[in-house]
Amino acid sequence: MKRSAFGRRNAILSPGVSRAGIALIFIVVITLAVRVIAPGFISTLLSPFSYVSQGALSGIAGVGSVVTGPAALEVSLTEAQNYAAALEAQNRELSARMVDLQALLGTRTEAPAGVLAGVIARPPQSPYDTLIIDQGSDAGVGVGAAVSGRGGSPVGTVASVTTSSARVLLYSAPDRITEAWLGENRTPLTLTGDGAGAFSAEAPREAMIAVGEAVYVPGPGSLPLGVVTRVDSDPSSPTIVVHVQSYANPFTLTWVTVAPPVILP
Amino acid sequence: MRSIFILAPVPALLLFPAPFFMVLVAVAAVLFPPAGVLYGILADALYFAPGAATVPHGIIYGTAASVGGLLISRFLSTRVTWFSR
Repeated sequence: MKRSAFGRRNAILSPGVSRAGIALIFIVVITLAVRVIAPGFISTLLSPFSYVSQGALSGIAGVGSVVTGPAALEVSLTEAQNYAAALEAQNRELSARMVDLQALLGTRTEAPAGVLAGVIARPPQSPYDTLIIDQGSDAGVGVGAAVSGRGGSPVGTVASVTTSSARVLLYSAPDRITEAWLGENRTPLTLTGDGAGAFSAEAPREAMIAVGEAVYVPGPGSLPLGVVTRVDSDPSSPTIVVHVQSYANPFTLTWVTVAPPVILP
Repeated sequence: MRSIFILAPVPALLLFPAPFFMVLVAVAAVLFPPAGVLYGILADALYFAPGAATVPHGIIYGTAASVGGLLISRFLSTRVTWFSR
């Protein structure tokens, strides 16, 4: 008996693979359509998964700590280090602000305002060095606004906004250029993002840069971005390569503050 | 069983770190070569932000995964009976 064309076996793909492939194509088309038609819905879609993801990852860490004691200690140590880094960043920011204000004889003392936003997606879930936050243009978030983490440590700027969410591009995004200052003398430095909170920069050998020096970015005053962790020096080169690690760990950011737009007269 | 491997990167993209997602995509691309490109588009649709890169990396790497997956799947389908079923 002659078989119909529909009953014939697919020569390239098995039926299971075909069904899964069609389902995958359907998912991709729907997601693309949502991104184009209603981009704000993406954050609504992602936020429940974010909470599940947080729970799952901390659950895995919890199970691991029961099985292995050192793992639990490592988690506690990481938390303590993050807390200490946040306090250090806050301390540096306050110190820098105090120095600037003393130079200006106290012409500005009010705390900067901002929009508090929860982080829906962060690295390493996000393949790019981006954050998705749960506040958008309805809350006053605008493109280009500065975003800071715990202790007022700057983390990036808003790259795109919908009514209920925004994408934040971290300063450490690969190949992103950020103008910064180094040390208390505010030596200018051009940082290039290396991803995951790391930066590198070239500086003249005569700059005498030491490990542990703070790096600042312009903001309201000077804001502490990170600290010099390594200096690579090649005797045949007139420049040195400075490696900087940000105070804010992008992998553990849960809340950020978005600066309000600056309105010029 | 193959369907599970092909669709496994979907929850991984939302729940787990990106490297884990990339490993699953590589496996899925061997079983269903267009999966690489499709997952690249999906990752960019969810996470790409203006200025994050000059070109969307998800689509570029996804295409590479698809090409690699196609070569491996062709290699396996001529040598492994289970794979060609």
